[in-house]
Amino acid sequence: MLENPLPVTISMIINQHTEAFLRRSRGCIRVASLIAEASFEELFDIEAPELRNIKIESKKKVHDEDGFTLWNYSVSRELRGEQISGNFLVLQKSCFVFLITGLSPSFLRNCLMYIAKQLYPDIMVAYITADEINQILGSLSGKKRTKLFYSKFVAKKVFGERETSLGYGHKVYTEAFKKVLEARPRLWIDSINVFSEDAVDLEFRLGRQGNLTYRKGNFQEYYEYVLSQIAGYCGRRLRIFEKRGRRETVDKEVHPLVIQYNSKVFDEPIARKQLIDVIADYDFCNFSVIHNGNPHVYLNIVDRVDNSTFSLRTYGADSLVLAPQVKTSRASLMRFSKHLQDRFQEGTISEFEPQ
Amino acid sequence: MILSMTSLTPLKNCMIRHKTEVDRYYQTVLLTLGLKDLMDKGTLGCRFVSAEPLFKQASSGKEVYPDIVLQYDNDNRGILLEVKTSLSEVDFFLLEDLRQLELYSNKLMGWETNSKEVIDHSLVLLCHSMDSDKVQEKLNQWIAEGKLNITKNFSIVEWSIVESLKYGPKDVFLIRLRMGQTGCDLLDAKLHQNIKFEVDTIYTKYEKCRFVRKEPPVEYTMNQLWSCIFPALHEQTENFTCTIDEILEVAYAYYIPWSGLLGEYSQVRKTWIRKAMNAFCKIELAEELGDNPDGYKVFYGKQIQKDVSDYFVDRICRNIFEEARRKPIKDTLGEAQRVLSEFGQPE
Repeated sequence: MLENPLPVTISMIINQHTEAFLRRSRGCIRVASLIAEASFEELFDIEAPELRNIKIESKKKVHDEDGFTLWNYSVSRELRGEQISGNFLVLQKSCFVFLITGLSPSFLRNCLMYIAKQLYPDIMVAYITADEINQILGSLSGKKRTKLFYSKFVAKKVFGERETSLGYGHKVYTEAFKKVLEARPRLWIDSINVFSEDAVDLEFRLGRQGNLTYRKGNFQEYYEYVLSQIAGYCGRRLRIFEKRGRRETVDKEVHPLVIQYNSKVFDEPIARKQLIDVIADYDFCNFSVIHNGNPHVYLNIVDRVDNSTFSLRTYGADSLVLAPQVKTSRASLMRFSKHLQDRFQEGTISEFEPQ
Repeated sequence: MILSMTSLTPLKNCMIRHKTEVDRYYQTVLLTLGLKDLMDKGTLGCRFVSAEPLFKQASSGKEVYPDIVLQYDNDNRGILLEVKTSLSEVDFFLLEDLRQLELYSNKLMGWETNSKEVIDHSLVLLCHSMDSDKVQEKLNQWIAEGKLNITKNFSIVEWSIVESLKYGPKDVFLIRLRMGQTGCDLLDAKLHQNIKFEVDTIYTKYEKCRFVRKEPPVEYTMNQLWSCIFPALHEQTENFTCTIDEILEVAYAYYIPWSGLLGEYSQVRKTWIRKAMNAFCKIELAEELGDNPDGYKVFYGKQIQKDVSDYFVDRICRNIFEEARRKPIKDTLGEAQRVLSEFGQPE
């Protein structure tokens, strides 16, 4: 998806910007991965006046090369009487946007992610699966010829319950994935903190939200081995979600998607009820339960943000079928599938093949 | 429905009933789609007449509206199926419901033959397996007492959805003969062995066919409008105006696959949409536009409970109870009285 390497000039500018933060005690760089339907700068400019308590203090285009654009922003937000403000860089290449900051988690969460969420559906928060995290780490370890060890991971159970595990001593990161796979009930890695052998200076955390936090290393490497990979996985997902609405299909056909789980989660009737509870927790939606779990569940869902609609039904014991209706944007499918991953469990999304 | 209905308040009872009706209508659509699929494969000795025939009693010219129409493969005979999604628990209303069958007992014109006639036809009452015991007992009783006059060959066929471990596990529709014979030997033989089809095989068809000839409960139509059709009419989640014809246009384009004919005899009737829109007006989610009798302003921007199916049923049942409080019982045999008679005085 992001074939061209990051231009050296951009890489140098980002490293220059981030160095001071990394030199601080416990300093780190946080990167949020987003997907934008247009230029982030244009979207933000248009929407900023509408965003409650958000103010663009300054913005400057830093560099533009080979399809990559780098902006430097300073924003502030008033939140519960307190002023949060700070700088961040925006790196955009085609539809992939990375927000880069050395400031606190609170700035990332309350300012940057707040902006991203407010700009939905023009901006979507990216996500990757635990399996994709595993693949990214595997590829990084292979290409850098270094062993990666984990110091901590956060896993989620079915229905999004968190469980944190610490790895003492040198434990290879694959052990963490093995551990969650063998756990009963099954767990999924939500984020993992890894570090490399002494010769290679890497220390970072990678999460399913497409969020990267690094303490050691340079941006060029993280871009090449992690961020461009995240973009690749999200790009594939976007292609699956593209032009699904019946308005856009030939003969107004329905092109459903199947979410396949690796366990027979719906064998337990309670899981069907819990699925409805998970949908009830989905922000900005309406849903109607047409058939309530005897034996399957069938619902219609409206994304109230852009009026996208789709139906959802349990399909056998181990899958869900998501059928886009008249108008269904890829942003809504992205947001909904992310919610299911966070709050239900992780599955593999693909084209539904009717029997 | 496992809960004892008697231990619940009348309002709660009413809500459970209305939710069951929505679910049963969904099942009826699946059932119709599944039957059509089987008939189209030519394995049941009959064919599904989907093109909305206009049936009239030969003697009086009075129109009748059976839910499913089948003709034998040789077109000599026919079968009319009346689908009952749910049955009243009060005998008086149940009897009124079943009187529909008397209308089909006469010679009818309008079959898909050159002469518009068939030699003879039989009647089938298609009901959920949870209702079949009662309906069989009552039908036999009322026919014996002369309260019900069904002169055609008559049978009861029941359906249910079961989870079959044998197949996978899969959700399987089971359709079986409960009483009598349809008269079509092949169909009867198959019904005796239980007709089965997997819900999964017709799932994508439901996505394109949300209504059949049977009138849906108003909450079902409201759910389809709110969750599928309104978002197609208006890009934003805000209030908008629309007409019934605009709603029908979307319904025909996306949710009615066999609508060869538009108008009064198609599978989404204007009256169903009007009823649903009026129900939206009653629960303050729409209002009529003064200058256009078919125009409505829909308050789609209004924040309501996320689970709209639950919300619609709740508001409608409360409205029924409110109206029933205000009207004397002897006034009408409408919904309010039916609920009152069935469940006693409101809370």
